[in-house]
Order: sequence, then C-alpha cells, then structure tokens
Amino acid sequence: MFIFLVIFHLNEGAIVMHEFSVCQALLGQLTHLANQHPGGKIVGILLVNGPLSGVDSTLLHHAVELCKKDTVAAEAVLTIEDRPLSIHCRDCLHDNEVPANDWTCPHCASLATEAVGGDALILARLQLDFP
Amino acid sequence: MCETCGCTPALSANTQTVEVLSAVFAANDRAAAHNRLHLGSHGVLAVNLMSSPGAGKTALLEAVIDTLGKKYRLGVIEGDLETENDAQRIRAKGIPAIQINTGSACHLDASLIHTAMHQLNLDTIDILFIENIGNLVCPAVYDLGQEANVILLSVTEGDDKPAKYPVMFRVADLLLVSKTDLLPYLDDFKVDRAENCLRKLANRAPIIPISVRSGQGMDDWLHWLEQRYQAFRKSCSQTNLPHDHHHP
Repeated sequence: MFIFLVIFHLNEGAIVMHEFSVCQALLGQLTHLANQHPGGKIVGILLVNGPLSGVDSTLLHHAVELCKKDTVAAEAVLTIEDRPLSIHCRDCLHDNEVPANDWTCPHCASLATEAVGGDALILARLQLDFP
Repeated sequence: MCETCGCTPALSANTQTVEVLSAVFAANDRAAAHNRLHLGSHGVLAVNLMSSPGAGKTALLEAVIDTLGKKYRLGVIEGDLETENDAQRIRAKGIPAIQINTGSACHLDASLIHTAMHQLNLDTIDILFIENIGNLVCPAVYDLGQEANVILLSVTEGDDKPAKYPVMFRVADLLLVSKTDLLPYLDDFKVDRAENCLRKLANRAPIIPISVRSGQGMDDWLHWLEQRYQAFRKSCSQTNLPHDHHHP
C-alpha cells in the first residue's frame, strides 16, 4: 500500500502540491492561534471537509503528517471529518444532502438550489494542553 | 478528538478546547479581497481563464487581442509551471504580459497575482486576463480577486467534464465550449450534454460554443466580455472608486 501511494504521488505531483499548499495555509493559521494561547500545546485539530472544497482528506492527512514536524502542531492528532454536500432549495425551502455533481432538489426537483454545507475546508476546533 | 466513543485518549484536566470555525483558505481569500479592491480602484476588469491544459486559452486570448486590442487596453498574467512561451505569444501582439512560473504548483493564488499586478501599470489597462494553470481541479478553489471566471471546455475532452469536475465548473460565470471546428470529427461530444451537466450544478452561466479557427461564437463571446466590462465600470463609478484614466 505504501509503495502504491508513493508511486501515485510521484505521478500526480500537481495534486500532492495542492494539498501541500493547503497544509502550509493550515500551519500558518495554527501558528497564529498558538500565539494567541501562550503556554498551550496543540494536541488535537479538527478539520471539517466537504466534496466541493477541492481538497482530498486522505492526501491532506498525509501532507500534514509530513509537514507538522518542528511546528506548533508537531504533537497534534489530526482528525478530518468528511461531510456531504448540503443544498438549500429556494423553491421549496427544504435542505437536503446531494451528490456533488447533482444539485437537483430531491424534494421538488428544482435546480434553484445553493450549497449550504460541504463546500469548504474548515478549521473547526483545536485542543490545547496547558502543562 | 472524540469524547463519546473513546477513539482518542481522554482529555486531561489541563486541556482547553478552542472553537475556531475559519476557512483554511482564509489567508488567500483576504489577499484576493485586497486584489479586488486594487483592481476596482483602477477600474480594471479581471477575468480568470481556467481549463484543462490545451483547451485553447492562449489562442483565445490572441483572438481577443486581434479583435478588441484597439478598442480596449488589454493586459495578461500568464500562469504556467515552466516556460515564458505563452507570455511571449501575447507580447508578440504588443500586449503587456507577466509570466508566472509556479515550478510544480498546480494553481495560481492571490499573492502570486498581487506580485504580478504590481509589475503592470494598472492605469493603462482596462481588461486584465489571468490565464490560470491548465488544471480542472485546484485553480477553482483559489480566489484571485477576479471579477469573472471563464472556463473553457474543448470538444476533445468529453462532454461530461462538468459532472466529473464539479469543483471547477460550479464557479463558471461563462462556459466556452472550444474547438467546435472539430465537432464534425467527434460523434461523441454533444454540447447539450455538457450543458445538462453544468445545469445540474445549479449553475445558470451562459454557454457559448466557440472556435477561434472558424470564428464561430467569437461575436457572442466578445459581446459577453464587453457587456461585462461596461457593467463593471458602472459598478466602479457607483461605488465612487477613484479611476484617473480615460475610458476607451
């Protein structure tokens, strides 16, 4: 499995780089937050991801594990929760979970819908230890 | 992180939970907002061109320069992993072009655009095209400060691309189905099917089949661009942003 992943990453360099730049942005935010809580050590990070964020959770997980050494997140446990795409229908006003490539309202078949969840990668919560 | 099922060690008494709830792309979004303000204050319409590699972005820009280059002052920011080739093609037509080489990165971001913008004299530009890295995934999630996203889908790529790459196609303000001069040789690409896939993303953006070679659709595309420019300039003047150069 490991060998497969390495080969996959080499062939899909662009995708790996994308998750690495996301990882850098995340570490930048974590550094900022750690500075706001002096004396605290980040021990847990919760990210919430959705299918329209453009970020693959598995690849991001790998990227964070590789990048976190010598950062404020060095000893943090990363959890990424994958949430489905949620849409709100402006015709029938129902909210529903739908596949990322079909935003048709399951209730009334309207396409006057908008994403209300699952369209972003969110840094939801941190856990800090104060020794 | 889970305190219910015990999948991680229990929290010690000294552990504090901090709710953050911020987008991981927040820093890029802030930089993009800054770019947007900057472009708006100079009355520059920025159009972000995105597509797969080889869908015809540079050829499209060359055609725009040939037809609108005397009426509007154009500028181009070119994104590629390597080479100055595309910028040279644009400069050969007398249009300022800044090349960004990202090395191996798959997208442009707002800070790269900010640096490139400052190498251009925005007072001498009406419409700035940003030719993004050829890639149907990552460029879509990095706001650059553009006013509009124009996505090219060439007929050689398959008409189901919007269903396969919803992250990209959902942000389209205009979809150009390019290289339609090749349609007679491709019996498996139907513009209607591409449109259905786009509509299923709740995206009502106009779709223009276009061929730079035959000229099909060029009038419609240029009309869309000019309308967008006029509307943008009107919104700039309504918000009283300073702009200190002559209109074309």
